Order: sequence, then structure tokens, then C-alpha cells
Amino acid sequence: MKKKLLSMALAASLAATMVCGTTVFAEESGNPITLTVWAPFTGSDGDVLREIVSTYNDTNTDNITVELDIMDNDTLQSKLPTAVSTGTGPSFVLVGIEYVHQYAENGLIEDISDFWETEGIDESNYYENVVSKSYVGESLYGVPMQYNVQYLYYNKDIFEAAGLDPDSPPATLEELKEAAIACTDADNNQYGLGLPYDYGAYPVYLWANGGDVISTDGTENLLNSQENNDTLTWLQELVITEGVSPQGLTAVDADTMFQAGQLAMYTSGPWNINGLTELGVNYGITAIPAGSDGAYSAEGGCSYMLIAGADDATRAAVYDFMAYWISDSTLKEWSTRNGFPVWSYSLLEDEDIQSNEILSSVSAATEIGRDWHLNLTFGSQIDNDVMQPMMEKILSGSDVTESLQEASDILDGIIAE
Amino acid sequence: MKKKTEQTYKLKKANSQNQKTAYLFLAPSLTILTIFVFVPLIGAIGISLMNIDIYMNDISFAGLKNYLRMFQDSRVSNATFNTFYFAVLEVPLQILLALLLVMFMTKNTRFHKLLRTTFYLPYVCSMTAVSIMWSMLLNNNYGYVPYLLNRIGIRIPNLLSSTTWAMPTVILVTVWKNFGYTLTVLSAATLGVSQSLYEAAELDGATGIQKFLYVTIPGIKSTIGFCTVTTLITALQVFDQIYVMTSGGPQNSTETLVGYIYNRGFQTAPYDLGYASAIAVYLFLIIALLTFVMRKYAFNTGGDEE
Repeated sequence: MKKKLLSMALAASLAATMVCGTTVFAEESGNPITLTVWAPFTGSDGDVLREIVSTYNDTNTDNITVELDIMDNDTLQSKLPTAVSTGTGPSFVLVGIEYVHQYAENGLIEDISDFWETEGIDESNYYENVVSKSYVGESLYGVPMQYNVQYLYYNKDIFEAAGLDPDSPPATLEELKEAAIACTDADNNQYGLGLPYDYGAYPVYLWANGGDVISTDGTENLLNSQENNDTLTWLQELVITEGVSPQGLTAVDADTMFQAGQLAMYTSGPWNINGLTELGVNYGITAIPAGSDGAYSAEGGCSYMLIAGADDATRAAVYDFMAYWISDSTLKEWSTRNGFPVWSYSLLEDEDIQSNEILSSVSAATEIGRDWHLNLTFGSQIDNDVMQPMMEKILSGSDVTESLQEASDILDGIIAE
Repeated sequence: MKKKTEQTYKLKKANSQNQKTAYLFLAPSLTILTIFVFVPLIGAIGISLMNIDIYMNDISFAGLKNYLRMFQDSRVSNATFNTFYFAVLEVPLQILLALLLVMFMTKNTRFHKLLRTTFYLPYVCSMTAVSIMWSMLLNNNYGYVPYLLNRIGIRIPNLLSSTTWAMPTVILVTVWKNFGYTLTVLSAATLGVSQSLYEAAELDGATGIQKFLYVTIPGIKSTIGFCTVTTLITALQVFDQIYVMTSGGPQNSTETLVGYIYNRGFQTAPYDLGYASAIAVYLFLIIALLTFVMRKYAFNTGGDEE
């Protein structure tokens, strides 16, 4: 009996040693590979990203090391094409989904349509509208990293002081105007609503009242309409007549003013949640208010994209990291720490996600997403050459009809090109 | 006769050896200049004649199309005006401020050295950092300067958001940052002016201002010329402070040529490198012409103390 027990113990220890040996073997089986990724995450979310990448480097069993290089978006965009054409680019990039079409059409990134099958991941577990933003035609060119729309941030303390209910933020544009006027105290440098001219919040107001800028396929100029004229006149009155927003406000200033309690409301993406929470601002988040045609909010997000010319080993390693990112545990960490909405059905079932107040508000407010020239290669031209100059003029008091006509003419030129 | 020929031969040989040595010393600088200045310059001229975007796909010959387009683009004329507006105000202000302070710093005492170091400090700081700092200080909504002025009852407009005030504000910040350099160069030149000239002027009963106007200024004329030309070249290439402080706004009122080149080439689709290069060549020609004219006529030094 003793011999039997002894032999069983020996066999067990041998088996355990073999298992350990196998594990060690597995850890060291893959050839070491180092990937570089460029990303424009210069804010506090960049720190979270670094931590997640570091955790991946420590825990992956395929000897993959991801080196994250964070730089501002302007630098990244000006460096990337040259770097790729000279073979000095990164292995993959993490950039806004507005670049997917542009990059794909210019041969900067690889078709990764085999990603789901290779990694054995069920594509239908993710929101279709989120994943579809990384497709060009039938081909997949990116794996979503995050998805967001714009939200209305409001300061609950200012609302309360102005006699408004902090639990009932404005749901319509008329309520937004009333609340903005009530919260404005310009003598004390406090404004009701931030309307920066350089942040792409303008389409949400135009859409709300039935207006638009350009057709989704980029062939039709829809800017010079009566609906847009009325909405822009309404916005101009808010700034010039009612004085609810500082004139010449930039998006960066609006962020700072909201953090400092000088703005009662403004629209922005979820990247501010982390910072505002850390600063202890008593704020709420709600959906963009509805106009006569409903409520819409411009979609945004980022995707991981594999740089053109990647060899098989690099492709496999990048797929591994992409798969790691869209695992529920990573997406959960990203959403809970940064406040980005959840776009994985299985993660929505998670108790922590369901009980998170900010995430619930954000997720509810995300249902009204609408495409803002994401599939147009000249999207940045619409913002830089048409919309921002027009908004700058109108919000500083220039004639609305003239400014609209001028912007529309420029847009005609861009479409014709 | 034979001796003379031998001497001439020796002289020629020595000269030839000296020339070789001189070229050897020049070689490193010439190599760097060739790689980083001449080749890119020729490259830019070549690119300006092409249809080419940042992705380098579908490259084709465009001829003078980019140049013709440039002269029809109102933003180019606006940027040209803004570039000159900046240079015409910034350069004299920087030189005059430095000259004014040089008047009080002709001595080489510890106190004067401390003052020169203090004025030089902003120059060694990054223009980006300086621009961010001033943008925050001057911001009408949360800046310290408007706040303090408000406390004493003075309300100022939002300087960097005003089409009238944005450019003057950027100019003043640039002068604040850069005048220390000009001051240091002019101070060094002033210290090199012979003391005997001042003594002679004193014997003739010249006042302090007269000594400065009739001894110091003529004595450092060529250095003033050098400072003016280099400051002008830098001013015509202004970019960093405008990019950080106003991004060319409001309503393009601070958009300069370099800013517009960057915008067309790297910021806005279709990232037209050909067109951006054409504007770059246009700017190069302006700078080359102005530098030539200034060196030839305005500051023809003709061999003073330099």
C-alpha cells in the first residue's frame, strides 16, 4: 500500500513537473517580437492606455512586447505617411475612425478581414454600428478600440444655484437656451453654455432642427438651407444677444472653463470624464438635447490598424494584441476608468457595468450617434475650411446669410475637386 | 629674376595649401548645409512642380499649376500680408528695445552682467512653452492678467480672440522672448567700441545721449545690420508661437505663410504637398530677395569694426 501511495505521489509529481515544463515551454515557444504602436492619446486616458499595454506585455504568453509611442495627432498624421513609405513606420497605429477610409484608399493599412476567424472571436458580440466604422466596403481595416458620441456635460452646482433641478438636465434646445440664460452670470465670469467654434459640435445643432452639411456619400452640398440659417441665427443670438457663451471660445478653453466651474454646460466627448471626476467637479452627463427634428450626436472613436507591408509574424502578433483589447476584461477596464460607453453585448451583462452611474448615463446618451463625414477622405477639409471659419464668423456676429453662402461656395469647390 | 620666380612659385604653393586647408575646414559645414538645406531646397522646387500628396500616390507633373493656383488663393495673399505685418512690427520693436537697453548697459559690472543674463533668459526657453504660458496668462476667461486688471477696474478685450488684437499680442510675446538675444549681441558689440572715441567725445562736451547716437550707434552699425537681417529672416518664417497661441485665427487674422504651408501640406485633406511646396518656394524667394536688398543697400557695412 505504501509503495502504491509512493508511486502515485511520484507519478503525480512527475505529471505536475511535466505540466510546469509544458507551461515554461509554452512561455518561451514563440520567437520574441516587438511591436510599435503610435497613438495620439496625450491626455489622462493615455496613462490608462500605457498601463493596459504594460499589463499585456507582462501577461501575454507569446513573447510579444508592445512599445507604445504617444504623440499629438497633428504630429502623428504628418509623420505616418512618410514613415510608412520609407519603412520606418510603426507596426500598427491607434487613430480616429475618420482616418480608416483615407488610410485604406491610400494603401497605408492592411486589409484584416480574416481577423475574426483567425482569433476565433464572434463579431456579432459587438455593436454593429461600431464595428462597421472600421470597414471599407466589405473589407475590415481596423479593430475598434473605443466608440463615443458627443454628450451634454452640465455642472450640477451651478444648476442648483440658478434654481434649476440638477437631476433634470435640458432635453430640448429650448430648455437648453432657458437653462443657459439662467446659469449665465457674465460679471462673475460664469457662462451658461460653451459654444467653441473649433470643436465639431456644430452638426449636432444643425441636425437637431433638420439641417445638414453634406450627404453621406459626399456628393451633395446641403449647407445653405433655411433650417441651417434658422439654427445658426439662434446660436448667434445665444452668444451675441444673450451672452451665454464667451465669444471666440476654443474647445481647449471650454474644457478648462468647465473644469473651473465657469461653464454650466457644454458638449464634449467622454475623454473628459476621467479628469472631471479626479477634480471633484459635481457634474452630470446627458444626451444632446432634441430640436424640431430630434436629437443626434456626431459619432467618433478610434481603431487599431495594421500598417501596410506587415509580415506574417507581425500580423499574428498585432492580431493577438487586438484580440486582447476587445476582450471583456480589457474593455471593462477602459470603460470604467475612462467613462467610455460599452459596445460589447457580453460586457453589458456585467454587474459592475450595470451599476456604474456615469457609464449608464453615457451608454444611454450614446444611442443617438450619427455619421459625421467619417467615410469622406476630405472630411478634415470640411471642418477646417468650411465649418470652423463659418462658425467663427457667425459666433462673432457676422451676417448669418452671407457667412452661410460663403461657406457653401467653398464646400461646392471642395466637392467639385 | 630667377629668385623672384621662385618666390612667386612658393607664394602660390602656400596659397594653394592654405586654400586646401580652408576647404577642409569648410567641408563639415558644407556637408551639413548640402544635406539639410540645398538638397531639401532643390527638392521643394521639384515637388512644387508636381501633383503630389502626403501619401505619394498618383504622382504626376503639374508644371506651373500650383503657382498659378497660389496667385488666385485669397488665403495666400492674406497670409503674405500677415507675415509682413508681423515682420514689419516685430523686427524694429525687437531691435529698438535692445538698443534702448544697451544704452544703460555699456558697463561690464556684475550688476550689468546680471541684467543681461536676466533679459537673455526668455530666449533660452522653448517658444512653445512661452506661448502656452502667455496664452494662459492672457486668457480672458481664466487668465491672471485680465483678472488683475479687472480687479482695478480695467476690462480688456479677449486679446487672442480679437481680429484686431491677436497679431499685436503675438508680436509682443515674440519681442519679449527674443529681445534678450539681440541685446546680448549688441552689448558685446558696444563693449568693442574703442574707449578713446568716448573720451574724445567727452572732451568735445558730448552728452550721454549724443555719445550714444554719434559714437555707439555708428560703431555698432554693422552688428545692428546683422541683427536686423537675421531677425527679419526669422520673423518671415514665424510659426511656433502662432500655431500655439492662435492657430492662425481668429478668422485667419494671424495666419502666416509658414502656417498656411503647414495647413495645406499636413493638416487639411487632400494634404497637397505640391501646393504647399509652391508656397514654400514663394516664401523662399521673398526672404532671399529681402535679405539681398538689405545686405546690399540698407546695411552695406563697408568694413567698420566687424
